[in-house]
Amino acid sequence: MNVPVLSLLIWLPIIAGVAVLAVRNVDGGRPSRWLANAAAWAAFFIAVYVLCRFQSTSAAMQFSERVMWIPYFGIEYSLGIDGLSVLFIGMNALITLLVIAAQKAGSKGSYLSALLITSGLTYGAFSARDAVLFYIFFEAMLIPMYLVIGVFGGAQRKYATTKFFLYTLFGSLFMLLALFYLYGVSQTFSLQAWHHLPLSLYMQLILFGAFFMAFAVKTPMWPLHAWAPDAYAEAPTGAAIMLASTKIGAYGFLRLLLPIVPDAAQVLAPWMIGLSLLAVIYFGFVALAQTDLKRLIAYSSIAHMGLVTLGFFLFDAVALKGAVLLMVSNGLVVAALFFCADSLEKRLGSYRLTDCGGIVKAMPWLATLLVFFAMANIGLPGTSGFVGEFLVILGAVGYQLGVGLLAATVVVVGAAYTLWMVRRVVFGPVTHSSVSAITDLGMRERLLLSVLAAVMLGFGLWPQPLLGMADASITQLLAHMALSKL
Amino acid sequence: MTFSLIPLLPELTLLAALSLILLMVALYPSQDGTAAYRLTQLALWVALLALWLTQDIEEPQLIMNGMLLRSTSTLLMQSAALLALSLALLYGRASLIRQKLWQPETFMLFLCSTLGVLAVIGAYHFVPLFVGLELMALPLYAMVALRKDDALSIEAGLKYFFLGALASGFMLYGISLVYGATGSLGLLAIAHLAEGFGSSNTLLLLGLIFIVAGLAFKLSAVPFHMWAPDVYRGAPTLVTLFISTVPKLAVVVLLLRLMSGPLSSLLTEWQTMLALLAVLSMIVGAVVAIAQPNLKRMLAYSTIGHMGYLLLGALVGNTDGSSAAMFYILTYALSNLVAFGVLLSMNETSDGDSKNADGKITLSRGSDLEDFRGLYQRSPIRAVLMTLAMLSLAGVPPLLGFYGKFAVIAVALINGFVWLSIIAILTSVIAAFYYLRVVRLMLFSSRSEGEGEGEILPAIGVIPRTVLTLNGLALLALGLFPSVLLDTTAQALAWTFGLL
Repeated sequence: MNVPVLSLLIWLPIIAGVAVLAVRNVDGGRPSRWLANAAAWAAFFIAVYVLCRFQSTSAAMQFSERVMWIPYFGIEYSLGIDGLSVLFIGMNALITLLVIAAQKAGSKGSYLSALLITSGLTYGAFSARDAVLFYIFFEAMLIPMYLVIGVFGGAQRKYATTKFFLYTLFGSLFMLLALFYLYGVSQTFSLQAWHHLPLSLYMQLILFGAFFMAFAVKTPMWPLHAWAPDAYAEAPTGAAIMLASTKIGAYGFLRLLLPIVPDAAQVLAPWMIGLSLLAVIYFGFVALAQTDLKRLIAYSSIAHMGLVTLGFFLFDAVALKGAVLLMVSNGLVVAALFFCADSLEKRLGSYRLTDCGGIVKAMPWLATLLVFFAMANIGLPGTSGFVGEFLVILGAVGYQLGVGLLAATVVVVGAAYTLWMVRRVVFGPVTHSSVSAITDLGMRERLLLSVLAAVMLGFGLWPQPLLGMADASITQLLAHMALSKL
Repeated sequence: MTFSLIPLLPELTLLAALSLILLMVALYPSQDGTAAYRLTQLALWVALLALWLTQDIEEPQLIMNGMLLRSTSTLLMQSAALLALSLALLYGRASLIRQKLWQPETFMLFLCSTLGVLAVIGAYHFVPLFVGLELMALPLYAMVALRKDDALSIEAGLKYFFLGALASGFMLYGISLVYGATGSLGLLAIAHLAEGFGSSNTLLLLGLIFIVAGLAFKLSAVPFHMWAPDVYRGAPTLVTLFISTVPKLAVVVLLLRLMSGPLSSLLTEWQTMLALLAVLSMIVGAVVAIAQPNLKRMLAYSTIGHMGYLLLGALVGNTDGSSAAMFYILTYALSNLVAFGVLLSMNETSDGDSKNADGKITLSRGSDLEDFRGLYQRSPIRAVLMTLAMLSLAGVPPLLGFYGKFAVIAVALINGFVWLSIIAILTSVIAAFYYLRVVRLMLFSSRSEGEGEGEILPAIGVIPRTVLTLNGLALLALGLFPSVLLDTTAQALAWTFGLL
């Protein structure tokens, strides 16, 4: 059987997105919403099929497709997934489905369309095996995101979306130069071939810089993060979730940076660890100072990404597994928290923490779920956040006790800002007059958040399926990184 | 040697149409431009057909006693020039009527200049080359000043004429120096002779410097760009579109031809000069465009920047570099056509209608960035097409413009021009800012209450709208399948390099 499953996964949402755009004004937008939901479900089932058929014992590329695309430069339309990508394919499918399903009647067709197209491009970036193909998927995502934030975003949307576009473009164009150099040396754009390409340390350091620019912006990592809080805060909820949860930047570290320039990564590891720790601590404290719920979630996500990049550069199997798990878990937690923030905003008309307070009486469902998600964000044992954080910190302690201690501050500071947020939003006295008048979550919101909570709880209690899928590929990546390319 | 006029059919078709229009004007002086327009379009397509029917060659051929070259690359670029003019006239038709330029003379000038373009693309001897250049340039001066009662148009025409004459003088002086050094005007003969000289021949080197200066003026590369913003702003928009697209095709071919063949022994000198031009053009094109409140002026600086990227590919000086540069100019032309196609469909107030009460000449309006504010609400199709054009010009994947930048920067970097590539990357981020500003104005902003109320955008005819939409979608479709265009240019050049 030779069904191009991955192509289907990529192009189905994109084509559906275009179709949604075409019918957006028909019959009050009902057909477009219906179509978007159908596409999201279809992609979800294809992704489930991929997850089920995935051979977790093998580190080889699976579901491969290869067609020559631009012969002049030897660029192939080459797809395939291994243990590193398969988890993110699954997560993207789940997040897309929830984001699309969360849209109530009256939401714009063009918004749904942009989300679907972004989702399709994200599948593409996770399954591309050719560097240029990866670059194009990676970059093309900018366009729908830029438009969505610019059209549907908050008050500061024009500033935020321009900043987002230029930051990302700036970073990734340096990666493009790196790709050109590697092509000049190897006469191919195949990532697989580049993994085995010998490179001098000097060149590796330069290439490291170029790749770092692209992925550190997208992850985001200190000091290239400045676009992220603005973009997350100004983006409409669905777009913010697609931006923050897909983790394509961190994936770039795993797929391109670490295996292509492993020696440079070894040399620069102390610096990267330093930057990651800085992010963990600094953004933790910045989150503590936020008065806007969405910005608080944004900074919390960036702080956790610091822990993820820390896990990448410890060169330790346990830490790397933890980092990958943390990416998945943080994607889910951020999505859940953004959904909660959205539910609150719909009722109170504001994301300001001071406008909430005491909603537990009016909204017991939301309060319960929010407390659960807060616990997952802190990394309470039993939630998905725990496993990832624990493994990374364990790896860090093995690397050096001091690093481990500093990394562990994510738990302490994280607990501080998360619990304080919960206290100000959920408990406390009712300060705002409209709080007493609001209604609790509707059926749709309840279902949505419960699904996320169940997934988090499931992976928290039994992370083995996730770990098992990524295991072989992570082991292979580490073995590969240990070989010098000099 | 047999002497056949058949290979000259495309040029002769244009010439015949030109003469016919002239005759029509003489016989029926009071007619409007309808007949001339139809005749022009017909002539362009007949010429295109003739081009493809008479020249199914794979081997490059010299015809007319070695004066003209026929090869796959001339075929490609001549077709591109004819097609670009045909599309431009289609998009600009309604605008010409609105501006009261719907006269047979207008089309005569377009045809005459395009005839020059075909001649330059085919020339393999300095005489037809220079004659072609002048044939291309002289009608342009008149075209820029077509709106006789518009202050900006007249100023632009005058400025263009003086600076253009100076550049022609440079070019001619350079040619005469090369003639002095080699004793020949045929490019083939010069190529044989110049090979022995190396770079030690001062006369040849001096000639090269003047020729490069002349070419840089035509390309509007910095520091020879001063005319571009004023001319772009002042000229009727259709003429601006023409200047920014069709003659550029010819000049790029000329540049690549001189560089790869006759004067290839001076490659290092070429590279030094072109590198300087490229860097300055990329920087000025990116930075100064930010300060422009007028879209036509902004697009002038955008063109300057794009010429910088093009030179980056050209200066590599091998087949890859030339085909990247040629591919680049084609992607640029296609994107530019869409941007100007939308601009042509906007309200461009003609001065004849809006003279002040005291009868003074007023300035034409309608192309300011502010006119695009909230365009999506007034006309979604214009806004979407303009967005496609802007993103393509900015070089964002998966649009066609990305592959143009991809090709030139890849070739430059692989051939060791590292710093130039880095500058190209940095300037393209800066340039993205001003392209995005147009998108932001059209899609994210809305007009304040009462502003521009009652203003109705002119309707676009069915045919122009369809073709413009297809042209816009082609930016996306060719972005998904760039090989269609990339392979065509690469193959066209692979067969003809050295005899480009």
